[in-house]
This record gives sequence, C-alpha cells and structure tokens, in this order.
Amino acid sequence: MNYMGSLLYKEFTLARHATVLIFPLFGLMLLIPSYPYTVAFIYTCLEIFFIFLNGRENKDVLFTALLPVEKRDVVRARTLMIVIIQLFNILISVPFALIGRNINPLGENTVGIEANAAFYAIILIMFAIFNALFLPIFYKTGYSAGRALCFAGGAASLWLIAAEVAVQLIPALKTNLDNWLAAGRPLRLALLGAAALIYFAATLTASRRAQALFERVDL
Amino acid sequence: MAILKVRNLTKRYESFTLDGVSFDLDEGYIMGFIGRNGAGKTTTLKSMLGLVHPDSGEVEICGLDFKSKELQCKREIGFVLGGFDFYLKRRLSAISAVERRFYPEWDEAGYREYLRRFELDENKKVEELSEGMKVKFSLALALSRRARLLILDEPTSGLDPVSRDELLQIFRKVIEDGGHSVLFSTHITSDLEKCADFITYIKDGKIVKSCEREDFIDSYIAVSGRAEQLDEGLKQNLIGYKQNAFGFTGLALAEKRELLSSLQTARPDIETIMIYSEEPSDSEVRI
Repeated sequence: MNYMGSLLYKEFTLARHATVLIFPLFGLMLLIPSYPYTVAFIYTCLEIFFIFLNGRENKDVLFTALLPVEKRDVVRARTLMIVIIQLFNILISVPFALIGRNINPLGENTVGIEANAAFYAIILIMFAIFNALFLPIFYKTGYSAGRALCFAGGAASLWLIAAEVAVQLIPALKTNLDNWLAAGRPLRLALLGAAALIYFAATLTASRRAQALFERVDL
Repeated sequence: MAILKVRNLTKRYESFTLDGVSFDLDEGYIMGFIGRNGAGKTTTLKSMLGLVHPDSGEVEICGLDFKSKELQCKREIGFVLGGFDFYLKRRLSAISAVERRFYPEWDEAGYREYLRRFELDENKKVEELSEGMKVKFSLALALSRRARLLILDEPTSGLDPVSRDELLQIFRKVIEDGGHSVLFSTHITSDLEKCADFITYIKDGKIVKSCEREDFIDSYIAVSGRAEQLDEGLKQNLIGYKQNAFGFTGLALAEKRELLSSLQTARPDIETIMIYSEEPSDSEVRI
C-alpha cells in the first residue's frame, strides 16, 4: 500500500478535471445572504462525475490497472481522491459559512437551512448516498459514468429536497436545526458526528463493493 | 529457469474461446507470439496479466503465481499494449513523472537515452505523436522500468522498417545479460525471422506449436508440383495448398516428407507456414 501516495499523485495530476480546481470556490455561495446553500455541494457531485468522464475519455482505468498495483487499488485510489475532494470542498466552505452568517443583512437564510452543523450533516449524508451508488455502478463495468450519475445524483438530490423540506415543515427540526442558537447546538453537533460516521461507513462499504465488482471486469 | 509459465489458460466468450493455452519462456530469450487478427493473442496477454479474467488456468512470472502475487509479478513486467493511447492531451513529461514513481528501479539515464534515440520530445502532448512515435514512447517507458520480462502486444505494427529493425535490435540488447526475456505478439513474420528465439503460434484460440524458431520452421516443408499431381490422396497429406496456372504450391508436416518425394520441396518461411495453416481450403488463385 506504500504506492497509494503515487496513485494519488496520478489521480491529482493526470486524472483530475479542471473543475477540481474551480468548484471548491463554489463554497463562496455560502456568502449569499439567502440561498439554498446545499446547491453549492451538488457541484461537488458533478465535479466527481467529470473526473470519471475525463478518465473514461483517457482510458484511465486501463492505464492505472497496468501500473504495478493490484487491480482493486484502481478503485481504492479513486475512492480516496473522492473523499479528499468532498472533505476539501466542505472545509473550504466553512469560513464562508461563518462569514456569511455574520454579514447577512437579512439576519437569517430565508430560502433554506442555515449553513450550520446540521447543514453540513445533510451534506455529508448526501455525499454518502452519492458515493454508495456511484462507485458500485461505475465499477461494475468500469465505464458507466452516465448511469452512475443518474442513480447517484438522482438519489442525492431527492435526499437534499427531503431534508430541506423536513427542516422547514417539521417544527421540532425547524426550532433546533435551522438557526445558530446555543440550545440546539448539541443536537446539531451530534447530527454532524453521526453523519460523518455514516459518510465514512457508506463510502468504505461502497468502495469495497466496487472493488469486488471491478475485480470481475474484463478490461 | 522459466521466467514465464502459462498453463491451460482458458477464457470462453460467446463467439470465441481461448482454449487451454500453455507455453513457457526461459530467461534470456525472445519469444514471438504469432497468429492472425482475432486468433487470441491479445486475449492471451491480457488474461496473463489479470486484465481479462480467465475461466481457468495458471500464470507464473519469475516463479510467482500471478493470481496470489499480482503486485510482485507486475513489478517484474514491462507491458506495452500497442501504442500509447492514454491521456492524449497530456505532455509526455507528465506521464513519465507518474510512471517513474511506481518503479523503484526506474532507470532515469536510460529513459533520457531512449527519448534521445527515439527522437521523442517530452514537451509534446501524446496526441501530437504519430502512431509509430506512440509505440516508441510506450517502449521508452517499459524499458526504463528495468523489468525482467517485457510483454509487448504488436509493438512493431505501427513502425516503419527502420524503426522496426531498431526495435528488434533493442530486444536483443535487453536479453543480452541473460536475466531478461521478451514476449511480443506480432503478425509481421519477418520480425520473428530477425530476432525471435522461440515461436508460439496461436490459431482460433488454441496453441498450434510453441518451440524454438528453427524447430518450428523445420517441422514443416513447402511443396510445389504440377496440377495433375494434386490428387485427393495428396490433398489429405497437405496442411494447405493453393492452385495456380502452373500447378500448385502447398505446405505439409515435415514428418510426411517421404510421402511427398515426387514433389519439389523447400524449407518454408514463417509467413508461408502461417498462410497455409490459416487457409488450408482450396482457394484457387487465378493469374
């Protein structure tokens, strides 16, 4: 596994798409006084789709499988790349979320959940759903990027809509989650912790499933 | 010592079966892997390297079982799959920067020398290379890995005669120290006559013969005769034959030499062996 660093180097030099450098800046959207902030992270899912599409165009899967690595490392390295991108995009956005909260002339986000810990929990669960579906669907064939996006993107979008609607319509959630008040903070942080656990567990499980499926693919 | 052992490699597709492929390659030799398009050359090579999953069979590289020691085996191999068809928009320098990280034995001085000898400009993008130059780039990478076993799938097919000759000379140089071997597939039979020590011939997914080049050639005889000599009895003793206005030409197994004493016989070349083996039916040539 000491070549995982080399594989990541390959991922971020050869396999990356230009959006890997551009889309983290969409964290700036969290400065907008009122906006459905979850949208900023739908772009992260698109960014991952573009990497796979770019990879298919360049026969990345075969190139990587020909390197002195085990075949399943092709999937392992890509999973690690995805996790780095998703967490990096989240981290980049956090300062903007905090600044946005303090400079918002309206005092609150009038069209969606505040960009607080509960919001990031929703985003992590969205990434978990996206990864859980995208990785096995793509690596079942090694080229089904469009199909993977349809299912993974569709399910992730449905989750975002359901979560946003639930927060706005269910009073207990609205009271505790859609603000920055100290009273709801322990709950919001607990949700963030739980979401992080779900995110890592789902991504790891999906990656293992994708590795097993990819092992059977003829290149 | 065998650097490569392939045993009963079998892969079934709907319309094609790679059927019990077995052969050995010893250290210090070059093996030519021949067969016409679609005979199963690439499927064999890909199955050997786990890129295609064989239904059954074993592959040993440097004494290690490929299935259980994939990583160690891959480090011993320089694999070239035709030309370089990856990351067409990237510069050669970006590709080699990735490659050299994976091979602790990477020969940087050797790599620079191959770039110079092949007239490859590292600042060019892959898509700016001709097909022949892409093959040369693939080779420069594979040779710089200091792999003990070079496996090349049709490395010469896109090259001009001078480059082909140069490449075959490089093969000979690679095996000079006795510790390296080369397995290359081709349908350009003159390449084999120039440099292959062994020949493995695959037809319709089955190995016809795998042996030393001279033994391979000596196991066949080319025959020719007058049209009236080609009767049913003779046809049954021939692997293949072609009729023309002057009579016929054909190929037979050398062990049948005595049965063919009334005909003119000659030592065939590899191309002749392939042509008659692949098209044994009476395809009449009219002049």
